[in-house]
This record gives sequence, C-alpha cells and structure tokens, in this order.
Amino acid sequence: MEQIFAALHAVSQGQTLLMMVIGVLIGMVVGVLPGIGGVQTMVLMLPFTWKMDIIPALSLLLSIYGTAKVGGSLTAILFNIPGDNPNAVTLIDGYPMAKNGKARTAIAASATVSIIGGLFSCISLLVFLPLMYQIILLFGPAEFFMLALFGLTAISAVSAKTIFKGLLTGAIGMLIVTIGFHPTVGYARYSLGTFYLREGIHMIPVMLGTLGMSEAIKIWMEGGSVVTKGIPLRGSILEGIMACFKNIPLIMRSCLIAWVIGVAPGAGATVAGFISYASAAKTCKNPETFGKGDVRGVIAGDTALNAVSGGDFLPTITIGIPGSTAMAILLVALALHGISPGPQLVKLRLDLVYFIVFIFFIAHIFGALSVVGFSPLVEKLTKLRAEMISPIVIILCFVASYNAREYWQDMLVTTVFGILGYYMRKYGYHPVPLVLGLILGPIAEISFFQALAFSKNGIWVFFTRIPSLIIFLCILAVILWPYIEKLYKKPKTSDG
Amino acid sequence: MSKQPKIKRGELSIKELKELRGELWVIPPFFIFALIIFLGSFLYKFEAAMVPMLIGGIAVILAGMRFLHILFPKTKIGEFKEAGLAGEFDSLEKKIKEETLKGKYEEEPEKTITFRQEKRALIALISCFVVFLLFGHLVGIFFTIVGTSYYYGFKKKRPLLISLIAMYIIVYILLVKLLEGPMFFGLVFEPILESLDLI
Repeated sequence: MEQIFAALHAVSQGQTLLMMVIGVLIGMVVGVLPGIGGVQTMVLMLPFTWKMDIIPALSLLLSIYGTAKVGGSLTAILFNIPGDNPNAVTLIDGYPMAKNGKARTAIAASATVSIIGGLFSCISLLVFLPLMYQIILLFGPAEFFMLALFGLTAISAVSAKTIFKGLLTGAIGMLIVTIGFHPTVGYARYSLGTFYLREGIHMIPVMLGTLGMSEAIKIWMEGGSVVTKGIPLRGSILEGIMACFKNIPLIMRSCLIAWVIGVAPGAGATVAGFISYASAAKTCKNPETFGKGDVRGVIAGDTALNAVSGGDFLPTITIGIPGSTAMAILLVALALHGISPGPQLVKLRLDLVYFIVFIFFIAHIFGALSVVGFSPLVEKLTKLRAEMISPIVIILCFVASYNAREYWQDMLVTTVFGILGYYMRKYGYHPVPLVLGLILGPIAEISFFQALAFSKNGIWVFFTRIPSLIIFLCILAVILWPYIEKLYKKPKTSDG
Repeated sequence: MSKQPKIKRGELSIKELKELRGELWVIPPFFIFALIIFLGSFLYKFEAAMVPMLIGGIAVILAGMRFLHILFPKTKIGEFKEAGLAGEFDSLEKKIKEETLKGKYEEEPEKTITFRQEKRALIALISCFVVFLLFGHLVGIFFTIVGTSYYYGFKKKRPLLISLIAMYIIVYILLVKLLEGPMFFGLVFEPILESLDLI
C-alpha cells in the first residue's frame, strides 16, 4: 500500500505531468507520421532521458508509447492507411465509417476503447503482480542467469523469420557488450589501447542506429508521402462514445483475448487485434455489417490493441522478458538509470512498478483526448514528404548519440549500425534480439559468476535448483520447437 | 501462351539466390566480429574469457555455417530453415489478416528498392555523418536538411525553412539550453572556435 501511495505521489508531481504533456504531443505527431512510429521515437528520446530522473524519463517514454498507438488509428480511419502495422485492424470498419460521414464517431469510439483497454491493462497488471512477486521471491542468481538466457532465446525465436537468425543476432548483441570495462572482470576487454573502447560500445548508439537510423534510410529509399487526399471529418463524437458503452460485453471479451495473447512474447498487438475482430465478426448479431462501417469492428479491434499492453508489460516488468520492441526499450531506459529490469525491479522498486502502471493509464487518457481534440491539425501532418522526415530523424539520431556520452565515435557507431540495421531488416535479421543481447548480456554474465560463487556444486547449481531447471527446460523447448513440431506433425501426415 | 521457364541454380530460384547473396551485407561483418572476440578471449583469465569464448564460439560456428551456405548454396550446411515460433506467429498473423481484410483493404505491394536507390541513400547518410563530424551540430543540421533535400530533388523553400528553424529550436534551445545537453562543433570547427575564445 505504501508503494502505491508513493507511486501516486510521483504521478502528481509537476515535472511528471509536464513530461507527460510533452510525451503526448510527440506521440500524437509521430503516430500519424509515415515510417516513424512510437518505437523509433522512444529510441530517439532515450539519450535525452538519461540525465533526467527515472520518474520524468518514464513519463515521457510511456506517454509517447501510449499516444502513438491512438494516433495510428487516426490515419487508418481517415486515409485507409494504418499508422502502424497493428492499426490495420482499425481500417476494416473505420474507413468505411469515415466514408459514410462518421469519421468523428469512429475516432471517438477508437479513443474511448483505447482508454478502456489501457485501464484493463493496468488492472490486470495490478492483479497479477502480487502473484508474480511470490514466484520470483524463489529466484536466486542461478535463476536470473537462466532468465536472461530464456529472454534472449524467446525473443530470438519469435522476432526473426528463422530461429537461427534470431539467435545469431542475440549472440552478436551479447558480444558487443563484452567490449570495455566490466565490474566482474575488473579490467577492460578488447580495448585495443583506446580510451573509447575501454569505456565500451554503449547500447544507445547501437539502438539509435539499428532501430532509428535504419528506418530513416528506408524512408529515404521508398520516398513519397502517406496520403494525398483524406476524408473530411464528420459525424458525432458522442455517438462514438455511447457506442462503446452499449458494447461493454464485446469490450470485455476483446480485453481478455488481448491479455492472453499479450503474455506470449512476440505475438503482439497485430495478432490480438485481428483475433479479437474475427471473434466479434463471428459471434455478434448481424455479422453482415462488419467490414461495411460497423462501429463494433472498430471497438473490437482497437480495444485489443490497447488491452494487449497489460500482458506485454507483465513479463517485461516481472521477469525482464520483453513482449515487444517497445518493452525492450523500456528495459533499456530502466537499465540506463541503474535499475535492473526483471525480478530485481519488483523486489526492490515496487513503487516504480506501480508508477509505470499509473502513468501508462493516464497517458492513454491524455493521448485519446488529444487525438480526438486535435485530429484536424494532426491530419495535416500526414502530408509530410519522406524527403523532410528522413533528415529530421537522422539529425536527431546524431545529436542523441553524441548527447549520450559526448564522444564523436558514438556518431560513427550509430552510422555503422544504421547501415547494418537496414540490411539486417531487409534480409530477415530483426534488430530486437541484438538490442536484448546488449541488455541481458551483462546481467547474464554477472548472475553466472554470482551463482557459481554461492554454489557448493559448481556448474550443477543451474540444474539442481527446481526453478532454474524449469527455465532451462523452457529454453530447450524454445530452441528445439521446430524439431519437436516436426516429430509431432509426422505421424499425422503419414496417417493422412 | 508460352510458359516462362523457371531458372534455377541448384535448389534455389534466382530470387532466392539473390536474397541469399544479399546476406553478405550482414553475415561477413558478424562472422569477422565474432571471430575477433572469440580469438581475443584466449588472452584473458578464466572469468574474463568465459562469456566471450562461449558466446563468440557459438556465433562463429553459426555465422561460419551460414557464410558457407551463401558461398555454396547447394550445400545443406548453414541452410537454417527452421522457422521457430516466429514462423508460427507469422503464418497465424497472415492467415487472420487474409480472412478479415479480404476485399476490404489491399495492402500496397512492397516497393522494390534498387541498388541505385540504396547507394543514393547511403551516400547521403555518409555525407551527413562526415559533415556532422567535421563541422558539428549547427552546420550538420543545415547540411542534412537542405543538402539532402536538394540531393533528392526536393526544393520547396518554405517547408525546408520551417524544418530548419524547427530543428535549430529543438536542438539548440530545447536540448542544449534547456536540457543542458552538450553541443558539438566538429573536429575542424572546435579548435578554431576555441582559439578565438568563442566557446
């Protein structure tokens, strides 16, 4: 209870609210901009939050994340183009609604369910946190080491096209952080006698390159703008809000579907949105109206897009395994402020966990209200051309990478990883395992030696402790899944 | 109607082969980096060498096998077709999308990016880096916005001026003055400005 009050006190601080307002404004803009989304903006903002206190830093980042999602629905409704991949579900009914003169109704419905979805996410987190807390109290260094490995293998398996590509990228991430000074080792490795390498290659320039600059290069190559012509804003906002309250059972069902999907790392908002939409289209009365401008379609899809965050946050906060790229960035933000993501966070900074929950919910409210209120202004931003957006992202990448440690070499690292990141994406090597390798590499290394130091039976400590053994079996299951699946499927085909 | 012959080399079509060759942008740097870390680990004591040796070794083997497959596509070594859970989610997502979006939304076919376009963008990016490095933030911002826009044939003065002013406000006023961020004047400009006592 004490921690909840501490978190509420932190939320009410002036600096927190100011950062939230800034975050909401930024999130709203980037939500509708072509090519650049909430994730890229969170990366660009990371170096500027480094010198801030953790509370305002998280306020800024979570506000951007929460608002960008709502902004993405706006372009789906008005222009039939999803702001981000998951928003594709919004356009199925959102765009026909806009064509029928109900654009405002669709936007209001989307914004209302984003608040409800956000609320559900927070409640689900508050309910399951104590349970997870009891489980992680059983964890020691051996389990932390196994969890770090599990996080890496799980995200490698789900974020890349083939498990090999994910594992290789994750391993490279872990190798990058071996460069430089390490506390358990006591001296710098691979420094080649240079001061820069003795300090190590920092995760910020690498992330800016792979997640931010690579995207800017792609925008340059593709060119053009999102839209040339949109649909005028018509319809009633109140009608959209009332439609949500008339469909509470549908919203609840979508929330539950999304939560279950969110807990599984990698499944994400897109799958949640479409499963929820498909379920609504199959089970609701008059299903023939779905796809022709039925507000229930917008409600089902958008509720899931926002409710999925609860399931997404839970493994991120409690065991340090991010369910999505945005969650990986959140882990980096925590790590930059000296807070170990995962079990340590719940054990030592429960107030911060509650703060994250509250701020995320408030960001949803602010974001939804702003998108409804400023939609005519925001709509104009979609006409910005690629030739204008790319240079802005590149400037911010350079400035942000220099800002992190004041080394010009960091700008070089950003450029190199920007080019590498572009080709990695192009050929199916997703950069998220690399980023996760950067975060989890040091955690794994420290926990490994701690576990060995406290152990009486050497390396066997990882297999004699039950929680550690269970996590190890999960790692094996993730890696061996394709082979297990083959064994499972073979008898079926031979029967058939 | 004439049937177009399917051109194959070994087991792969020309498109697949091209995609595989494209991995040369990724795999050799990964392989060389992992090899350096792996071999370098032998210079350190057990505690320091353990992780780089283990992870480096795994990375060298994986990247090496893939490299071999790229060079000799007929070989099964390094083929790594196993989709893992990503493939499961991908196919699930694709299936649901197909079912729900059928006839309602036509996803734009992915634009084919030519090597020429890639070269153009990389030249622009590297030029921006060089200008940022030599002349710092202030000149770098100007060059990145105006120079690259002209390079891409976008010459509308008003939007360029607006984004230029906006970036100077964001970087100089917001980040440097208000958030007390560092200002970089470049490897060429910094000594000059310092000698003139301007910074």
